[in-house]
Amino acid sequence: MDESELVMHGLRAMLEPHSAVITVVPHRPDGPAPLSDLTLYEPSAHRRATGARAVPQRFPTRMVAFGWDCSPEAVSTEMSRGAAGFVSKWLPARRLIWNLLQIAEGRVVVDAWNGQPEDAGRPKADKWPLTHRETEVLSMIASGLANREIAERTNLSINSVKSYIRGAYAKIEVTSRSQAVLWAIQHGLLVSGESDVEGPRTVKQAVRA
Amino acid sequence: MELLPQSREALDEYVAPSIDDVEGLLRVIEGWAVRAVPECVALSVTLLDEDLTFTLVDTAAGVDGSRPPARQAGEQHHADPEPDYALDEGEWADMARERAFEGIASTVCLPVVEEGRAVLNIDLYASTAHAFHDRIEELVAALGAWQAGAVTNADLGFDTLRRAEAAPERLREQRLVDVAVGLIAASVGVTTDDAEVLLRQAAEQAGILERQAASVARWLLA
Repeated sequence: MDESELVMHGLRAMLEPHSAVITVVPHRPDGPAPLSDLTLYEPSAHRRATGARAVPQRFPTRMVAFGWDCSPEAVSTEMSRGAAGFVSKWLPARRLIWNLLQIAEGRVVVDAWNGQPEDAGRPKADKWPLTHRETEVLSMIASGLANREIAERTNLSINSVKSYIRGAYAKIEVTSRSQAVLWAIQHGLLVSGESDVEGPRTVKQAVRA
Repeated sequence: MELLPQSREALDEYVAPSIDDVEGLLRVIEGWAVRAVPECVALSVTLLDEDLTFTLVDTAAGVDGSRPPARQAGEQHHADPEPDYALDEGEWADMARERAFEGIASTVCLPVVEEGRAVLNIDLYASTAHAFHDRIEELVAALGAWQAGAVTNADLGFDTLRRAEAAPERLREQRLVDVAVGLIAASVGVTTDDAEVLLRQAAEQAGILERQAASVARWLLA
């Protein structure tokens, strides 16, 4: 969606030999949504559409950021918006397909390779350490919500919320809420102006939808 | 026994890195306490590091968190002036019971020590005066407490109930401070420990409470 003809045709030609496992279906924002497992979107198109300041958008589930800008800031911005994953437009076909299949199976994958040669020992795809729910709960923690408020907004039980908090803390290796808030800010989970009773609307919507 | 409503609220908010299920822990302690001392009508567990108290009460036994003590200390002072001579132990105990919380006639506080450091206080409350007599050793063994630290009848006024009632507000304030500390750490580029010190110093210099400084920090930095 919101893509140039060059990318659309290029992507279709690139994936055509792998049509047994993946099919590209065009989708225009003003048209009806086709049936699909994942929807790729260009992050910068959203930024253009919403002005200079990156205003979070409400995404349905299984939206995958597919962009040229693979900076940590770009990745964390899209993940905090609730993207199911982030894949670089620099990726070769096989690696792109592998990542998309992983995401389609429910894994959170961030592959922000920028086309530059990689170190031999460096993993090819960095996984976002948190699940959608953990990301969602952590962003709400960072915006100052109480566990009960998080439970109400996510339709989770209190024990589930606490379980996600413990899981997130363990994965990002923090032991206190203040450290978790710092991590959330450093990874783009707390967008300016969201630290109020409203909470992080985007992430919530993305997971719920 | 039932959880005090404020303890339920505090348990919902409290996330312990080390204890997965604090309510489960309370229920285990309740089970041991009631087996060892059937007259046990209330218990409180205080997490000393967090200064948080959770309380279970047996409302059927007449211990009700909403009821005031049988006689408040202040009322006692006006209505029945204290004698000006030192009380012996028996008289002190009688006086303490007069001021005791309704339904509570004896108490024992059992500290739990880990690696030489007290981490928990378990306070048990009974409806009869000698409920804990000759039973402390059994309780200490069952609860893994420190026998030498056990203190009897030191909380006949059920002070841990007041502390448990204050727990939700304490957690709300802590949440406010924690978020502010994270924001300050990100904004100034320091660790959360250093940010905590900065917040405390700012509050002291401004002559305000830490939570007030935290509110200002959140307003400015969020």
